[in-house]
Amino acid sequence: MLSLLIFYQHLQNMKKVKDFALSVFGLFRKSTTTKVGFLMLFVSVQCTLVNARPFNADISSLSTLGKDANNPLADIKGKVSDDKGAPVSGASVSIKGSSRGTTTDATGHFSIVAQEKDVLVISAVGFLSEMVTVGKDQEINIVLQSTNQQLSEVVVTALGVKRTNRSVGYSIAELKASDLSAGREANLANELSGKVAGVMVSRAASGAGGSSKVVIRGLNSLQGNSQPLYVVDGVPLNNGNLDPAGRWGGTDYGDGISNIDPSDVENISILKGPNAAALYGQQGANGVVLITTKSGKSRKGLGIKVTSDYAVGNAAVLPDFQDVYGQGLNGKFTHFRNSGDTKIYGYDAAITAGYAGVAKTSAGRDRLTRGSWGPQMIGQDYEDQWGTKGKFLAQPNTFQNFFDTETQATNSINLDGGNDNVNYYFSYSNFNSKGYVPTNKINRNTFSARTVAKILPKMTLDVKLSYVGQTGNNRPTLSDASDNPAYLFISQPRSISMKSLESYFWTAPDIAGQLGYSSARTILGVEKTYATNSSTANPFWTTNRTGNSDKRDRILAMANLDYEILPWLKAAMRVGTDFYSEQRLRYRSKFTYASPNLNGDMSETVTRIKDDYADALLTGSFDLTNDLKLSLNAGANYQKKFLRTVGNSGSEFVVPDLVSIGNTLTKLPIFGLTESEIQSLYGFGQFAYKNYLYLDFSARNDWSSTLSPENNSFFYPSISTSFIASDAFKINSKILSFLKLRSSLAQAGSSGSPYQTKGTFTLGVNTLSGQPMGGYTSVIVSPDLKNELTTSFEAGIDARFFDNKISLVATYYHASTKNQILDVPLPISTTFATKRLNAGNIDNQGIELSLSGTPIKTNSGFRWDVTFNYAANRNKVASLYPGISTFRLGDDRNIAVVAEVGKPFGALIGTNFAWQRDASGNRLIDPATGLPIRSATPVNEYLGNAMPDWIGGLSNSFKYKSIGLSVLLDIRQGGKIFSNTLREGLTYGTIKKTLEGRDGSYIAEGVIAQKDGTGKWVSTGAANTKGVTAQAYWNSVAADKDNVVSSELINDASYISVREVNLSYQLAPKLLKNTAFKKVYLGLYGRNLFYLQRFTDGYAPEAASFNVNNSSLGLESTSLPMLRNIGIRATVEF
Amino acid sequence: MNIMKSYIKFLFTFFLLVALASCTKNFEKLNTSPVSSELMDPGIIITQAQKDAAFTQGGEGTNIQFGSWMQHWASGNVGVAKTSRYIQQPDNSTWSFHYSIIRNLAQIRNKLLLGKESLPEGRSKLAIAKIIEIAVWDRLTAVYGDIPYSESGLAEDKVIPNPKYDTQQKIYTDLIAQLDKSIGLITIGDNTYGAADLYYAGDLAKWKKYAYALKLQIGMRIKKADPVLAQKVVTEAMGALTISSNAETAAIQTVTSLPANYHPTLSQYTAGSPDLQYLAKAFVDKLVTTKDPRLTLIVAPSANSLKTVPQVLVYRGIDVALPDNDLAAVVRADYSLASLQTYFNKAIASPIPVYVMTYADVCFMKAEAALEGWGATSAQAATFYADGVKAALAMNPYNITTVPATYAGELVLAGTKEQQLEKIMTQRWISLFTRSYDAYLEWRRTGYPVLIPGKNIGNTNGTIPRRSAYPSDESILNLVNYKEASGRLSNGDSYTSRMWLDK
Repeated sequence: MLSLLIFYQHLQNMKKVKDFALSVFGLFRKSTTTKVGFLMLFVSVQCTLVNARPFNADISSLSTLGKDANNPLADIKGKVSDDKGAPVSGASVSIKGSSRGTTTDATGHFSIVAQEKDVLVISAVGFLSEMVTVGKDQEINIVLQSTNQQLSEVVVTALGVKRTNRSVGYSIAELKASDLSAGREANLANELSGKVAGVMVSRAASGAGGSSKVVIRGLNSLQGNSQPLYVVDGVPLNNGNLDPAGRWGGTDYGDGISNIDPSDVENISILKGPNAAALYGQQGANGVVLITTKSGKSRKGLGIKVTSDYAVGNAAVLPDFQDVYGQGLNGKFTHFRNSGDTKIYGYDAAITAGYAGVAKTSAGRDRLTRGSWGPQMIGQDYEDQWGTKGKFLAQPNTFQNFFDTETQATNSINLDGGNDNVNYYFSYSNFNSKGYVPTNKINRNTFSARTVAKILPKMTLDVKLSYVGQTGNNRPTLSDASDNPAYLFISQPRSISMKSLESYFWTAPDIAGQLGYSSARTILGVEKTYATNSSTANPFWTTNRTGNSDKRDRILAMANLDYEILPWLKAAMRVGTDFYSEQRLRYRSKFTYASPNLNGDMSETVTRIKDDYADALLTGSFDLTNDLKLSLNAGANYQKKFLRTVGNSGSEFVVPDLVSIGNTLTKLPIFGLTESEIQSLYGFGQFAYKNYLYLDFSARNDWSSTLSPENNSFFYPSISTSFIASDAFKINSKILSFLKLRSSLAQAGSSGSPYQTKGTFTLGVNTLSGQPMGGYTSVIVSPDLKNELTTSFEAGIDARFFDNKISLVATYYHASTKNQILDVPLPISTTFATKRLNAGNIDNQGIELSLSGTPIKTNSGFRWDVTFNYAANRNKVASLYPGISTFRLGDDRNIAVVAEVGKPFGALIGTNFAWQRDASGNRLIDPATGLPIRSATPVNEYLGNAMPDWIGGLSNSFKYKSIGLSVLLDIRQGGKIFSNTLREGLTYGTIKKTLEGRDGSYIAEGVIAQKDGTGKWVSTGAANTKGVTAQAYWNSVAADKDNVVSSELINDASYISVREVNLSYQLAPKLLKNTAFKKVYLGLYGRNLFYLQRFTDGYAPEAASFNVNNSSLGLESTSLPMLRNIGIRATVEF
Repeated sequence: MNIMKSYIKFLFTFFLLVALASCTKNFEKLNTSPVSSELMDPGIIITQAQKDAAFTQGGEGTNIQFGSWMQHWASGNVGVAKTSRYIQQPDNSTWSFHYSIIRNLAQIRNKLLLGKESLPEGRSKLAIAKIIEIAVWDRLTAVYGDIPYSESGLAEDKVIPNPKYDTQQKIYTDLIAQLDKSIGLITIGDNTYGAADLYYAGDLAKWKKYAYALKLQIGMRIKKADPVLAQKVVTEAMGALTISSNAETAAIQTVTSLPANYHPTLSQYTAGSPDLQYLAKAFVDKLVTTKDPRLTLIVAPSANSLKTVPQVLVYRGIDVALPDNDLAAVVRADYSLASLQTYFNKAIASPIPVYVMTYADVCFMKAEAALEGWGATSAQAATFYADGVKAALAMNPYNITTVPATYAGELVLAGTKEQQLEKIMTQRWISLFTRSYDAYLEWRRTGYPVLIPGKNIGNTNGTIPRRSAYPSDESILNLVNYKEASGRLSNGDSYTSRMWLDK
């Protein structure tokens, strides 16, 4: 639409342009770089001839411009500098009336294909726009005057409507392609980390190909995931994460946003909540991330850009293992093999009896035999649990010996071209990752084709088709599951070598020499494990004899038709679909220890997901008076969601190594289907007064299929204002260059998932004696369910100071979400587990600050830019449901994460033992044992909140001519996390924390207690001095998985991470003189490099959770390490 | 002109789309679940409820806690088997599992057969559903004490979010009344659940017999708490026709082809923790010292004894509730698993049924009633007892129909009333192997057999727990009522508190 408008203006201005161009021509006639320009032109013509001739020839016939043989297209080169002579980088250079455009590089240079009489429009933030008419000369230098009249940059708002930022009455954040890191993140969502105020990114601990959780302005929903809606080129993306990992294992197959190729992205707009996103109705309640992908630029020939990126990754944080004490208990071995009768005895009994022989370790499922509470590892002779004799020595490199270096390679090619009537864009990208967990591989191919064509003088068609083909192999299992290697290694005795596990099945000598295993599982060829739990694993078996694979084929398609009905009336129609099928296979081959009857199992599913979208929009703009303008829009929208899963699971393979459903003894079908529809009508508009006062309003009505006919229609309004005070009051001071005040009030909400208004019976999968079995849902559903409603207010200022050198964006917001659709837990003594109803009122309020500036900018071309953003969100659960004061969001062993009325969301409640303390908080120590006294029974103890006090980012970027360096710090302060890695380490004595006082000199901090008359422990006031063994102390802290003092397992989740360091270099053009290359960029980058601050025990606080739902908030569960990636990248433009 | 045409077309499509947006007629159909139904044949619910109530008795979780308290099972482990070492843990699974069974059964009376209470198509079916429900309530309250009863099991639109706990006394009074009422409603000739009824395949006469056996059980349950009422209830049951042969035993046949339908004790072996498959010393010793013919069918010889040359098989159980250091030094291969010929045998020729109420149960209860002179004379106790032992020996997987001479002495009931009771209860204890709830509840009310607690002090000062602790969710979601109920217990919500039944 914009291009239509420009085109129209272009025709009007033709005459003036001609005059102007002639005068400019003379100025640049003597340019010396013409030769270079010709060379470039030659290369690009070559490329065009080789690659795109037929297509180009074809579309050029549609062209109304550039056909004039007397006025050929040429490469115009130029340089943009400011009034002090310093180069202006990132300035936009476009040709008036066409969609051709480019931006200046670090040295202020640009090149553009144009012809005589074309008018170049040059604009940059902080400068007055300039227009230059192209003359005969092909080199143009432009000087821009800095200005206060700016903020003319255009932002993408809801429904893809482009607006000047100055007219927008709410905070909107934009990231351009150049803001996205040069070093590639596998998941586009991770790119938002630390860059935008109020946006918190945390990732699942699942490596490349995993999901990311993005939360804007705090969590609004108790249930679900509070994630924003992603909209790609106007069409919502299904960001669902089917069957995410849970607390008992599972695999992260990646979310929807991970399928978007970052190299296709032109722009990301972040609409922070309903104020900006009310037009998305119920889906906009958590904010919207609008992604605009690239389209072709009108240019001569074919633009080719090739990017190659290669990165390696290793664990950024490893558990703090100790390498002093090995397997055993009480500083001793547990068993002994007598050389006389070759029988095995308890160690103490054997020593007392004076037997000769060697110590023997035993398998077991708990710390008694399996813990690293044994003797020092000093090379003693011993026999392990499989009967292998050896020296008792530390095996320090558990992780290093098992895991691989991750590699990620990304190669992409982007082609674009076109003229003023048709342009096209094509890209292909391949992402290939070999994971940290051996045999884990992800491969993703993305093709994207887009063309924008003026099919009639007043009608533009924009068509895009993207295909994503992704395959994954052996994605790791997460959380508390034995096929998660991190779960195994944290408790693996420090004396067990990986070598002994590398032979991963039982052999005859193993069976003959074993101690501690049950005969049920010690069978020739069966998976050999070091622990004896029913669900344990050998990581080598897991990677070699079990597996999973997934294949996702995804189509994202969009067609948009714009039509200018009348000069003041435009219409647009868009249809789109996000359509994918995903095939998943999992198997555990025969003889897998944890599989049914040791016979293995498998499952295979195919899920088909289709989200259809259509909207229509009618836009009219009117000048009511000279000063007052009005635009009005009306539209309709239709969305349909469809998900269908079919598959089979089978257990017990008959023929070994044949992974096929037909080869299993028991087969069960898998079937699922959900469908829903939302239909909407909406209208919005804007009054603009004298370009400094804007009033926006919108209204939308949704009809949702998921609610009953009485409740399925609901209405959301919004209103916002923007006031450019600096213009209105004609402020023209040195200090204050620009000031905008804005405020907004909006509503949005959600209608929940399908099938929640009727209670149903479900048939079980098995029959008994041929009889079917079934039961009733444990959820009390409500036929009267209503939509959730978020009401949000925000106000803020955008200001620029000191000739625009410093800019400040500050926002205060308050959002209140009412009538949440909640599964309120009921005590199971009602016989029901939950009641689904509208309940709960959550308030979020906070401030966001974004401060950026350019402290240094020299004429020699050095420039230092700083951006700092800060967001503090305060959350309060205002109410839940009468009679219910807490809502459980999630839980794990020994911990519950709850929303409690009157407190912030995400309270961590210890559910196991607590220390007994005196009035001043000192722990009471039992004088007899020297150990702190625990509560008699498990208690509920508040241990802090999972939500941070504030989050932020500090970005510094330095540029000197063609060299750039940027450093991004990602900051989170406050908030707690409960760690199961820590728990395992303490229970099994494998981490450094358990080293102190192994000899009995550990003095527990606290005061000596005594019993008062009533038998209650009270303080004597004296500090404890009695020493105990580290084992005794840490076993009183964490005796085993479910027998812990919960408060001891809490870590502070604050961190300052050096998230991203980027070094980039653009090769000097003169080096490319005799090559086919136009531009060459080289980059070296590191991600997740190190922490300036971190308090967690052996894991990364921001990548610890096993899924991206609210239920895993504040929980760490034997996570796989987050990876530190170091990569190189080269981009070549032809 | 072309332009005009497309303009018209465009507008047309535009408004068509707008019109579409107001078409919400298919919403109702769209929002109907494609994989579940608002109604279901009540027989499907009955099958599920019967299976659930029966199978949970012998599963790994129940065996770890109640089975090791009863010293059938041992080999406690510091992690999962804390309760076996008298370390108090909230018993979440017993609670939620049984209330879920009640949820499903309640759908039959609250919805599926509502309004058919006095019609042939609903009357007897509802009575049977109620009898199954009563058995579940009996177990639930006997394990915990006071529980939500009158404010539970309600229709979903009448659910009370925070149900109060009824006193156990009140619950039993009502259960007895409900049982009598249900027995009265069973009418031969009414519609039945047919093959969906796993106990009796719709045989209403057998259901009456089962109901009286249940009445006998409930009467005995309250023997200590309310002897007068107990006598009345037991006497009434003694006078009625009840289960009178192994053929009338209420049981569910298992299969070995589908893991979900394995005998739960077989599942413990194939899918459970390998550390929790060992038998307890007291149990094994009893079978060994009395030369019980069931020994080899219940107990496997120790792995190490199988390796001896010449082979001397050793049947040896592990001490229950061992302290850490003793447990760490255990060489498991020196101890016995459950028999690899029967319970731990996936290839068993005739899969073992899961027993709900056996003829042996009835015989032993009758023997006990006779000792009290309730509905029978004390002289009749010996016969009932001998019948009970014989019936227990004859059951699958023992199938011992001829009592060996070496065991004949065990069939004789003599001595004081207490001695006789001890003998009855000891035999019952053996016969209740793999029915861990029942074994525990029968031991608790009589104190027989006399079991010496394990060495671990736990939270009970080294005594066998007297009850299960309430589940953790009650202290979060139903706090006020939970506190009130805990307050009524002698020692709060602890293993050592004594409930009404156990005064």
